[in-house]
Amino acid sequence: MHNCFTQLRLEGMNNKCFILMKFCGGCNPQVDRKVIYSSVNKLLKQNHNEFVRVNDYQEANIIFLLNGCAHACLEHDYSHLSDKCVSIQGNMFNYRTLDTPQLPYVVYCEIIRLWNFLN
Amino acid sequence: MTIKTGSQYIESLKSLQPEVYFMGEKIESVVDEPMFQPHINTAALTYELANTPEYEEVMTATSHLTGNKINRFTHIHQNIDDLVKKVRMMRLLGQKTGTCFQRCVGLDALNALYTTTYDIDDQKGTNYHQNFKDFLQYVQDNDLMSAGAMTDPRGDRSLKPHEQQNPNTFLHIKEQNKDGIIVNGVKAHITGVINSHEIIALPTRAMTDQDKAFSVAFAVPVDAPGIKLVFSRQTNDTRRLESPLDAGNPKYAIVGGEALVLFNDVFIPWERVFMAGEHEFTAQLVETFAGHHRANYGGCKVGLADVVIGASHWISEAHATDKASHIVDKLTEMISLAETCWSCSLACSYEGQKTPSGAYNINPLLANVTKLNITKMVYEWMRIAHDIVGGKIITVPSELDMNNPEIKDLIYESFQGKDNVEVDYIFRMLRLIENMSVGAGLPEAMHGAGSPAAQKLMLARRGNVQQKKNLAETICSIQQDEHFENIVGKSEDEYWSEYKKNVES
Repeated sequence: MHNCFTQLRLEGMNNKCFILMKFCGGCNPQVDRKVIYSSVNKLLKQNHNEFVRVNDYQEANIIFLLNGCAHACLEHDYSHLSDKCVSIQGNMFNYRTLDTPQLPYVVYCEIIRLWNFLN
Repeated sequence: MTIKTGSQYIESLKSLQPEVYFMGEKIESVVDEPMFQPHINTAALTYELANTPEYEEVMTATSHLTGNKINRFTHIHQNIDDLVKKVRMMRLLGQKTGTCFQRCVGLDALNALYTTTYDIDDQKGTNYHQNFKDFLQYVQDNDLMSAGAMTDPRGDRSLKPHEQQNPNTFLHIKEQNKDGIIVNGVKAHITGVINSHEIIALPTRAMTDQDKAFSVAFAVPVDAPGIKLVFSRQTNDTRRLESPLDAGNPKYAIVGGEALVLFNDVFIPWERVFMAGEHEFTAQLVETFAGHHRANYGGCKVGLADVVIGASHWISEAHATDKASHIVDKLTEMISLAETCWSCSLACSYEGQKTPSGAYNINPLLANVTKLNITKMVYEWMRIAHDIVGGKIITVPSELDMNNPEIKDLIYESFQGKDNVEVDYIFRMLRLIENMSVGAGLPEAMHGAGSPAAQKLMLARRGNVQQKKNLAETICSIQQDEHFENIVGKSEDEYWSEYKKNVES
């Protein structure tokens, strides 16, 4: 996990990345989505100034889906855009359970990896 | 051939030679034994309806391995729709048979092994998932019936498997070599096994590091050398040999037809082994299987409830009590109970979730709620059925007496209802209700897929009590309520301070 941090450089581009952070409806969340949201946002702001928050998925290069549980409603809603989505499912990432404090950093790594890949 | 018909399924059983014992005798031919006929008919219906246009939408699926159309009982759930259609299939077959149709245990074993072997390989670098997919395709291509075999006798329940004086109380690996493993032990009350093609064995509980030999999963033909099957007795089972009418449900019997499966030095080649010592995955395998299986019960048992509700209403009409307000109330109560359980099955399916393997799992919390409700509500709707139809269900004379010319007319007069109702039909309905509500079906609803304590254990684990405490603390202002503060435009402390001042003035 710690080694991952040193690799988080955006590779050779200065493009802005427009990112939508989308909450599920929060009917019965297994994690505090807002804490995870704030932590991911903080990591992005601290380490990169290329990321710009948007509110419309049509403007977004990357969409971060904050699902509160394993059912992951947002993945159904955004299934047509899965190539540009990074998603948590409650306390899971890629459907594998993680310790909740790990989640923001894993998501942050995945956002950087996806942005490098898209460029 | 991908999907067998009912008769093709029965024909396929003739090529198997399982070693079956019942009532003190060794049974030479399963398909020719009259005591087994209704159970075989029930399983055959799971094949027959898959070939029936009006039911194929729920009874069939498309294999993700081959793209072929297959019987849904051999399918790995690929999405939410598959999970929902599975429980619809359960209700349909419960309605059509009035009993347990046996194949869901194998289906759930297939799905639990698919997701768990994927995870074992991912973390251990083993080859179980490919082994399993090869077996799965064999099952799908040949439309085989697999008996899921999970429950071990468990001996002294206070001891772990490796602590048992007799290791055979848990199925275990006796030895292993380059070709495979040799297993010994027992699996208990295994549904449909005598008329299955394959046995899929799973561990019965979470194992420890010292229980590696007991952490074993595999598939084996039902007639493999070293396997003995002892068929269990059921309530009023031999009535079917004396009188179809007295049997109540002579076509499809009562519950699934369970057997004790004895393994004595049974060889399993490595390509049929799906777990051999990976104890750390036993809890996942057991929980995944149990979740899938518990989800079913709001389907199959509600299908049975549909039959019992119909029969109870039929009897009340035959006796002209159907308009009485207390009968209407009881029938609607039965419907409410049944549809509550159905709602649970649908909910745990619609709230299903993807797994790393790509297959879908039900919502485990809701699946356990489903089964916990079944352990109570089946008893309740059967109790109401008894209330509605009266004591006749346990006092009807035998068919042999009904056919005795000296007393036949007197018996028929005694059981007459409204003038236009055939007394023979009244007998049939009473016996059907007796069959479904007095016998083995009740404890099956209690303990099939695990006892209530097992479900409550899962609810305690997955109930997310911390979140509930947070909710209460927020409403009590122990935790900050940011939405309330947004509404009133100030902190709660400020708000309540001002509020108190206003009240006091």
